[in-house]
Amino acid sequence: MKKSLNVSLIFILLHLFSSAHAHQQVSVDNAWVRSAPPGADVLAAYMIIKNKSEETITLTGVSGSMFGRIEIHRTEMHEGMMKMIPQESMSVPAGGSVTLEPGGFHLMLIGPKTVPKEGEEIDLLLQFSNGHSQRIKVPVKADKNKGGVMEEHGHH
Amino acid sequence: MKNNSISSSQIQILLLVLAGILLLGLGIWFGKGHNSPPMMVADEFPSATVLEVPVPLLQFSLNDHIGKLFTPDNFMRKWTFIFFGYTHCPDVCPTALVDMNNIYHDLAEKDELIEKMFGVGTQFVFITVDPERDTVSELREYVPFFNKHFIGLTGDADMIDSIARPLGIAYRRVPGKDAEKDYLVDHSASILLIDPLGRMRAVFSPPHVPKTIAADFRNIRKKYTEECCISGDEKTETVIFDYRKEKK
Ligand SMILES: [Cu+2]
Repeated sequence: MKKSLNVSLIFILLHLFSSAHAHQQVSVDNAWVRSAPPGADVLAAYMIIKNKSEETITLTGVSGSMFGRIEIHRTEMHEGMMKMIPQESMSVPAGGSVTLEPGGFHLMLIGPKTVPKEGEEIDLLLQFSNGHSQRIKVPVKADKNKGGVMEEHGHH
Repeated sequence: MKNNSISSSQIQILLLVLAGILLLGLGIWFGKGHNSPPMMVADEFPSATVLEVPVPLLQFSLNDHIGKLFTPDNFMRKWTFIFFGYTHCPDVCPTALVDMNNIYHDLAEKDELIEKMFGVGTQFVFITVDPERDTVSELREYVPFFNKHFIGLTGDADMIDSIARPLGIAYRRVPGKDAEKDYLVDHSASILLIDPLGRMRAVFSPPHVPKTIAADFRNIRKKYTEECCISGDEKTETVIFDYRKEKK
């Protein structure tokens, strides 16, 4: 009984280690969805995507069962107006990272089945050009102030 | 002969003087700012472009998020922060509304929402640039989420144009990636400050730092509230102001 417990523990540890290893080329930190009014038709998700590999990795798509559609957007100032520009993909340079943050890159979560409340989590699946895909849990947070994103610590 | 040459040099001098007067006149004419951008007070307000000559607004009539009429009269005897946006805008607009909420609380915490000398209040207004989707009931769900004292405004596209144009607010509908009804609206992202006579007094360009804006607002208010309140009768005259007449 004790022995089998030990064996399964080792299995679990091994599994944790190997999945951590598989994730090592891409890591996602500080992910959050901005809490929105109950009737919201669109939400935005922010995060930092790190690429620890030696090649550029491209985020090609994002999906989530809670949403009708998810687009990669970038907000830019253009002719004096703020403009959201849908992106086909988003590249993360080798050994670098891309920050999705208010006023810049964001994931545009369109047509939520229900609008998640502050404190809840949503599931997203990030798909990368190298065939890698990563499932992430993203907490819903109120954006109290600008520094909010930076002050948060990543969850693992 | 002699007389002639004297008189021709006199004519030259006369011409020079005339040209000088003309140039001076032109200088004054241009200096008056004929069609030039409004004069600004530099440096004094780090986050704001303050207009030395406030810009009058056009007449308009909109509905607030509980369905009440909102006209230029609603600007009278209050300082008003305005942001233009739309509810299908999950990035820029919530950021600006959160910033406005922080400005609100910066003032509220020190009990400074109401100016003490003249009892002039402060209000915060969100005006949609997407009236087709942002109905009164849509705004009723959206605006109070950020602050229950904020006011959301919607109405006819013409009316929104009327208030946006003199404020220098541009917006444009652009197709989204997918279906036609998923259009996006590009729009200016400045926060505007309207004085207690319903004239644009300052522009806060993004990125917004609520603390700095609140500090600048206190100083703008200190400097300009009096001139708006001393001529108390003019408030019934509403908004279409001839500021030259007012400056006399
Ligand atoms: Cu977007």
